[in-house]
Parts: sequence; C-alpha cells; structure tokens
Amino acid sequence: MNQERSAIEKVRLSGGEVDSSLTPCPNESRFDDLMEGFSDWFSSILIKETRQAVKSRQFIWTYILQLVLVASWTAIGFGTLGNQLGEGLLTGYFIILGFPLALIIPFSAYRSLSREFEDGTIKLISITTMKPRQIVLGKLGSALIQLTMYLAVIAPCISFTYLLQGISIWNIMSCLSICVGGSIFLTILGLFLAGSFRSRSLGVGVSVVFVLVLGLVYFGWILFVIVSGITDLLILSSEEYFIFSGILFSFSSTALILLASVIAQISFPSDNRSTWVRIMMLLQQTLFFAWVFHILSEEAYRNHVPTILLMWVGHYWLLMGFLLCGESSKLSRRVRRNFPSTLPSRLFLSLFMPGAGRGFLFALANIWSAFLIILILAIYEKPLFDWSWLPHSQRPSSRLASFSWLEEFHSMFICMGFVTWFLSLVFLLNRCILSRVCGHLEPGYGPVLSLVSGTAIFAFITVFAAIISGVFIEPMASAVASSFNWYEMSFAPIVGTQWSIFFIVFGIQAVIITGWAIMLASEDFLMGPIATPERVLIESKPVKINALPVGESIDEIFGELPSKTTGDGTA
Amino acid sequence: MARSVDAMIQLDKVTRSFGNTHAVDDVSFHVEAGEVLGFIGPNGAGKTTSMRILSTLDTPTSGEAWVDGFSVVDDPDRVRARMGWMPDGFGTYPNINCEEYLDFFARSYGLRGKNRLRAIKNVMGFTQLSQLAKKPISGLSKGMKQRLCLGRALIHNPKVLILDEPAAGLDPRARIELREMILELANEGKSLLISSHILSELAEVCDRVAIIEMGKLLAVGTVDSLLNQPTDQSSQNLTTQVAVKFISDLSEFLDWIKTRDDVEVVSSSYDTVVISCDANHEKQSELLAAMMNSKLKVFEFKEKQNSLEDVFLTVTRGAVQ
Ligand SMILES: Nc1ncnc2c1ncn2[C@@H]1O[C@H](COP(=O)(O)OP(=O)(O)O)[C@@H](O)[C@H]1O
Ligand SMILES: [Mg+2]
Repeated sequence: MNQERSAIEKVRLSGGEVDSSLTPCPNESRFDDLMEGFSDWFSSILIKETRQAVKSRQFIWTYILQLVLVASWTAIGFGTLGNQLGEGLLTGYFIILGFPLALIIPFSAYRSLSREFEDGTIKLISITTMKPRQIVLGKLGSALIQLTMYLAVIAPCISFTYLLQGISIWNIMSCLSICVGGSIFLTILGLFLAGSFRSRSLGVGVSVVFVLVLGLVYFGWILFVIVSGITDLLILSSEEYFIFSGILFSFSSTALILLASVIAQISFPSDNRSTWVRIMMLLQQTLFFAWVFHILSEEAYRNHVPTILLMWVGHYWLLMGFLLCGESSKLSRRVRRNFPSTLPSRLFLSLFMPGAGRGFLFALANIWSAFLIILILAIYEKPLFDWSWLPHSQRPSSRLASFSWLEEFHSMFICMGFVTWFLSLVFLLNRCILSRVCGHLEPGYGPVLSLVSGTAIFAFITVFAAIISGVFIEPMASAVASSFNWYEMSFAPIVGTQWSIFFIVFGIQAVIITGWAIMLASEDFLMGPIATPERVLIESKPVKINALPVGESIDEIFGELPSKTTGDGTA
Repeated sequence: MARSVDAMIQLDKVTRSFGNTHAVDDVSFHVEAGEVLGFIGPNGAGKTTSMRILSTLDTPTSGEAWVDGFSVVDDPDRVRARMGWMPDGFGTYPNINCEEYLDFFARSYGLRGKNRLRAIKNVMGFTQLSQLAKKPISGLSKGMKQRLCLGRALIHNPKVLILDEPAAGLDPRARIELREMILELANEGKSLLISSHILSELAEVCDRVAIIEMGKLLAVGTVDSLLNQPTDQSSQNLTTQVAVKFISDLSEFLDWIKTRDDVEVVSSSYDTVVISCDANHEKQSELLAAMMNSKLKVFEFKEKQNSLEDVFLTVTRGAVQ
C-alpha cells in the first residue's frame, strides 16, 4: 500500500529539505519577496479578509456600482446644477459614499465575525497563538481597508469640488470625518453584536435589527446632508459646539468600551476579561469630566447643574456597576498569578482586577470620585472660572451662577448615596443568592443576570415608591414611601418631618446594607498573587515564534498603555 | 498534582459537566512522546468534550490537564503553540484557496517570512496538497478537506496532535493514506491522541487505546492486552461465535441446529450461519463431528476471532451500569 504515496510527496515535516524542482515555489520575483516580507507586518486576519473581499462578488459589485453612480452623478450635475454645482455635487457624493460606509462595511464586519461563530472557524482561530485582541482588531482593520478603498473612488471627485466655488476645505474635511468616524463606530457596534449574540437563531433576529438600524442611520445621513447643507455644516454656534463635542466624546469612548467588551467575550475563560473593560469605563468617565470642564467655560451654570451631572454619572455607574457586580468571584489561577504583588500597587490596581468584589468597589470608587470632582468644581468654581488669568478681551462673558452649598451638597450626597445603596443591594444579591443558585451557569451569564435583576430591583423600588407616595394621602405613609424615591429625595428641600422619617426608614438600613457589602467586598480587595509554576517561569517568553506583546499581567497592560496607542495587534 | 514529567498529554481526574450531565467524568490518562493513543467510545461518550478541553477551547469543571507540562487552563497560550487540533467538523471560509487557507493559519501562529513559506510548503507536501494549492476549498472532496484540515493542524509543527474522528466518512483509500500519515507523524516523535467510535479503525496505528463511555474511562492499555482481557475471564461456560459455511440447503441446516440445545443461531445467510456455541474447543470439535455425521456438507467451521468490536462491546457493556 506504500506505493500509493508517490515518491515526490515523501517530504518530512520537520526540517526536511523540500525538493524545490518538484513543488512549485510560491514566490519567485524579488518584488514578490518584498511584498511577502511586507505583509508580515499585518495581522493574518487583515490579509485573509482582504484577499476574500477582492474575490467576493458583493464587494466587486458594490465597488462597480459606486463608480457608476459617481460618474453618472458628475455628468448629471454638470448638466443640471448650474451655479449650485459645487454644493450639489458634493451632496450627491456624500450620499453615494454613505451607502457603503453606513451599510455595507458595518454589516460585512458583523457577518464576518458572526460567520466565524456559525461555521465554527472561530475555534480554529482562537486556538492559534493569536490573541483575542488581534482577532477583533484584525476584523476592524479589514473594515478600515475596505473603507479606504471606497474612499479612494470618491476622493478625486471630492477634491475636484474643492476647485469649484463655495466649498471650503473645512466643509469637506468635517463631512468626511463624520462619515468615517460614524462608519467605524457602526463597525465596532456590529462586531460587538456579533460577539454577543452567537446562536444561529438569535443571530437572524439580530442581523435584521442591525440592518434596520443601519438603514435608519443611512436615511438620517441623507437627511442631514440635504437639510443641513454641506456649506453650513459645522460652522457651529457655541451651543452646537458643546453638543457636538459631547457626542464626539460619548461615541468614541463608547466605541472603546464596546471594543474592549467584544475582546473580553472571545477571550479564554481563564483569561483576565475585566481589566481592559474597566480601563475603558474609567476613560469614558474621564472624558465625560473633560467635557464638563470644557463646557463650564462656555455655558451659563444653571441651578442644580452639579446634581444633574451627578445624576447622569449615577445612572451610568448604576448600569456598569450591576454588570461588574455580576462577575464571577472565582478567579482562575492564571489571573491570580498576575495580581499586583506589592501593597501600594495592590491598593490602586486591585480595583482593576476581575471579580465581583473588586468590581463593586471600582464602581463605588468612581461614583465617589465623581462626587468629589463635582463638589470641588462647584465650590471652587469662582477661582477656577473667573478667568482672571486670561487677558480681559479673552474672558468669557458668562459666569457660573453661585453654588448654594448646602442645598446642592445634600442633593449630590443623597444622589450618590442612593446609587451606592442600589449597588450594595445588587452586590449582596449576587454574592449571597445568585452565585449559589445559578453557580452552574457559564461565567458569561453572570453580568447579564446581574444587570437584569439589578435593573428590575431599581425600577421596582423607584416606581413603587413613586406610586405609593402618590396614592397615600396619609402623610406618614407617603413620607415613608417617598424615602425610597431617589429622584424625589435628591431634589426635596431639607425641611420638615420628612427628613427625620427618611433617616430612620431609609438611612439606617442603607448604612447597614452598604457597610455589609463593603465589608464582604474588601475581603477580596487585598488579595495577593499566587506563585507561577517553575515550568512557566523557565519559559517566560516561550511563544517566540509569535513575537508579539503578551500583555496579560496587570503590570504589562499598564506598562503598555503609554507606548501602545493604536494597538493594531501586529506590532 | 500528580503530573508525570515526560507525558506530553496528561489528564488528571478531568470532569466537565453541563448542568446535570457529566459529559466527561473523572477521566485520567496520559500520552507519551511519540505515542499514538486511540480514544475510543460510542457517540456521546465524551471524546470531543475531552479533546476540546485539551485543545484549550473549554475548561474542565474540575480536574486538570497538561500538554507538554503546561496546564491547559492556566497557560493556554503555551499549550496552543505546542498543540494541533483537528475538529470533527470542518469550517471553511468562502472565496479562499488551499494555499491561502494554510497561509492564514501560518500567519495566525506567528510564522513569519521564510519560516512561513517553508511551513506551508512542507505541510502541502506532507498532505499531498501541492497540486491543489490554488483550488478553492469549496471544491475539495471530503478526503482532500480532511488532509487540508490535518495540514492546518500541523502548520506550526506542534509536538502534540489531537485528531477528532479523523477517519469518519473517508473512503478506504483515504483511510489508508491517513493511517500512513499518522504513523509518519508518530515516527517523528509527535504524540497523537486520536478519537474514533470504531476500535478497528485505529487498532493498527495505536500504541495504546483508551475506552470511554458516558464520560467514564473504562479501560486503557495496548490493543493486545485488551484483546486478551475478556478471554482471561471466560474460563468456564462462556460461549463464542462460530461461522459455519456449507453447501447444503439452508433450511436443512437450520432444522438440524434446532435439534441441538447447546447451539443457537445468531445470524444466517444463504451459505453461512453464525452460531453461538460453547467456547471450549473440545466441545466445538464434537459439534463439528456431529455435523459431519448428520451429512451436512460443511466446508468451513471457523471460530470468530475475539474481534476488536467484541472487546469494545464487552468492555463498554460491562462497566457502565
Ligand atoms: N455544549 C454542550 N452543552 C450541553 N451538553 C453537551 C455540550 N457538549 C457536549 N454535551 C454532551 O456531552 C456528552 C458528550 O458529548 P461529546 O463529547 O460530543 O461526545 P463524543 O464526541 O464522544 O461523541 C453528550 O451527551 C452531549 O450531549
Ligand atoms: Mg465527537
């Protein structure tokens, strides 16, 4: 039976010499050699998907369609637009460009990841030495390459309109950046959806909804381009500017959180899935404050602004906190090995390590630092924002209204107190009940379960308190009920018996529950690392065939932060 | 932690539960360097689940497993660099050919430049895919796909290979080729864990086999030791099966059998009847003599070898209750 293997094919796998006269050499010219070497710098997914895209009918047809549309629009425009030529052409180009950018690219990114789950190819990729981060960023990268190719078609035409009158480079650039930024955001959203809903049955529903959303976005884009008119675009009043920068901050930081969480979702169960997501949450909060600080210089500071800001922060951390409280408390040895070892590093970095207890404390730390920041801003707004350090001509005209210390302070405190109380409740619920009852569920379900039950508890208490206090005319019952209404208590004036009832009915149990939760959580807090096996230490960088940053220990992640900004995974 | 130093694959009391089903239940075995271990069990026995744990796709509910001394839970990246896995299903990408497919995985394993080209060339040579390099994957036959899949698992030259039902659905020729490739890999010092639900499929290539059913490991040992095992226990009145071929009329033969109460018909076709009779050879020769005496034209009387399937059935039926 040995004859069946022809002699040509008898090639030893390891180190054997291949007879090059028999097997065709994949690349002969020096140019090919160069290209091969060059391609080593890119992620394997990027290369594979670009190859696939170039061969796929869908891509080729969209591409041709775009070319045809651009050409016909240019011809039609010259015939009909007259003195509106520049703006008319540009509007058309942006509508044409919007189609692949808003629909095709995000949806192909979604399909490309969800197909990996359907076909089981994700298993083959995830057991290679590629990191989950490289997989996701590779998908994002190939979307960016497609985006560049679509842009390449339209760029000459767009730059041509610049030669016509009435279009400034600012108009063009801002419109383009909205297009590209929006497309990237939608692509990340698509990747997130694909990572979150993996079953085939759910996948169909999700893809329908996603297409609808994308269609709506595209429709909105068309309206926006036509109605706002490109020439007026982004010549912003200060109020619009403040809204615009807010949108920019929130979209970009949300994109980062989505990206971090889809990476976490496809990570190995024993991997550290939390740290990057928490870093991104912190970043989002920081950006939020940067934005607040920024607008304070522009906007008149209305009453209750500190409380309203904190309400926003409170809701944010309520949701994020529910998710964090649902993390599994059981840590893999892999994660434990990389715990911070010294006491000072533990004090700070423990908050970023996985686990429900540390997640709960992380949320609390964020809430109360937000409280402090806003309090300091509010108290010291005079010296901060009286602009005496600016020359007279440049000082902004509006100033912050005076901060009424007592009133605002108590509102802010009550607001944060309620958030802390809700988080403590949900943390205890997770620790004492859910983790026992639902312990056999796969670890990924914990945060979702916690989010659902937390939101239910929160909605139930708040709505119930509001209804009861409305229905009962009897002042005592009404006061007891409204003690549990976050919104009412935050804005209630500090007078009358309602406050003594509040302290007795709500305050005492809140202190007990919060104290208990913090006590339980702090047991986790000072946890140290465990020893790394010698076999692993000897081979500290064994995966040398894969010359990539490992980036799994907390020190490495933080060490990586300043130098690695793009993190395209191929460095 | 009971970990033998030289074992390339080691499982120690591995359990994996899905709710109340224990897909893998307290399984321990090891595979040494250059050894081929057959992992045999009926469908749903827990073979794939165990292999998924070894290939760092899943984690055990309890117990531990190591590949080349690295824990599959704690150091999956190190395990991955040393381990190739060939799943029972075969996922492909649209619009991609064999060479690009291998190239993609070579890059994904971090192979760069000349190393990558050499790896692709070697693997294509080994799996006889060179002529098919530019063929789209969708046009490949099952056997070719299987070879490509094996090639993919080999692309980073791993020390350990885990093949999940590699022979399923292959024609005889492809099966022979597979067997040869497996032997060649073992000769190169790789450790292989190969699963199948048919013991005979693997008997020739395996140094040892492990038999699993309903998540429980029933037996581990060389094929010979397992073959001998049941007959060791069958000292007294155990029965065996004998295939009798004759040129007499079938009904005549069956009628004769009915007159004997020590013989039972297991199956019959027009010229062969498989009967179950005493395992004792003395008794069998008496039986044959009786047939001859009754003028039945028997031309073959052959005790069925204690076949691998019987061993398999005996082992699996005996232990799981
Ligand atoms: N993801 C899963 N969820 C629930 N049950 C599973 C899952 N995977 C496997 N099982 C169960 O585990 C058992 C073993 O399956 P498997 O390892 O695929 O068997 P084999 O590969 O030996 O045919 C089966 O009873 C199967 O139903
Ligand atoms: Mg199976």
